[in-house]
Amino acid sequence: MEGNNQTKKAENTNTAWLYKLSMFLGAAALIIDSLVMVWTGTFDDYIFVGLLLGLMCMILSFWQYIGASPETRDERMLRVSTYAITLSWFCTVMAIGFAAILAYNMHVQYNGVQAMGFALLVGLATMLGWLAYYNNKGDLDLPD
Amino acid sequence: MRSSTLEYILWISSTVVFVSLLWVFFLNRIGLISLVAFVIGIILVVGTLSRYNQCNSPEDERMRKVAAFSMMNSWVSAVTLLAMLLAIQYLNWWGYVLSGLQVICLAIMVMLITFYGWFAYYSKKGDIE
Repeated sequence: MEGNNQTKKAENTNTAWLYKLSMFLGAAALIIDSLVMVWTGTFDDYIFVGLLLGLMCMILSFWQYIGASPETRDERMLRVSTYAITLSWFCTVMAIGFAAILAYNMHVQYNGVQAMGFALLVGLATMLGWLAYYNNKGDLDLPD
Repeated sequence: MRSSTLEYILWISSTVVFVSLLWVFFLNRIGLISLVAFVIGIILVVGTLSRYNQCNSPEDERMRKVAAFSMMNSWVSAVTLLAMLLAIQYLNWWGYVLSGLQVICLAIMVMLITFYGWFAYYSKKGDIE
């Protein structure tokens, strides 16, 4: 039983890089897509395909990457990812709220595609930023 | 501050935010009253939620876990729903083009609604497994 668990864990460690690569490629595709959307304000076939593929790669490998799945559970990674995404949630709500404030009296004009691109961009960039920060730091240092 | 007071503040401020966002969404313009209501509401919501999440205090481990997991799931749900909305717009299934302001209102509403949904789910469940 113990041997089986160890073998399974070793197999999961071997495939972990694949999930990591898939998640980062997906996130990179989504970030590039959202940058193009913000920049051009248009949504064409290439962006649509990039968005679909990026989202599929990211979401499907996300739970494996952060270690939420029982087979690949990594307490440190789960703690770090949860905290990073929590902070990203706050950053995203505040950034989108700020964009709404800028729209007052039409000081800044943007269309729906640009607004959507901005929301996606802020959400992904802050999530990856906090994830990289806490991963680099090693662990959270919450008070005991 | 007591937990029940925080809960009341969260409920009232969330209502203010939702009403102001719906107002802006349907009128497709942002006026001074809706702007002030939105700004005050969102500051209170974010402030109360960060207290709920107890980022700097270890008071209630269960509550912190529930809030953090709800936010994580809310983030993933919101990104997925927003991307689906983009796809729907692209395929023109809806037949209506949203303006920038409407998209922003929708994004904030989706993030808050999915958070409350997950929070209610985990609170009812008791703890994170």
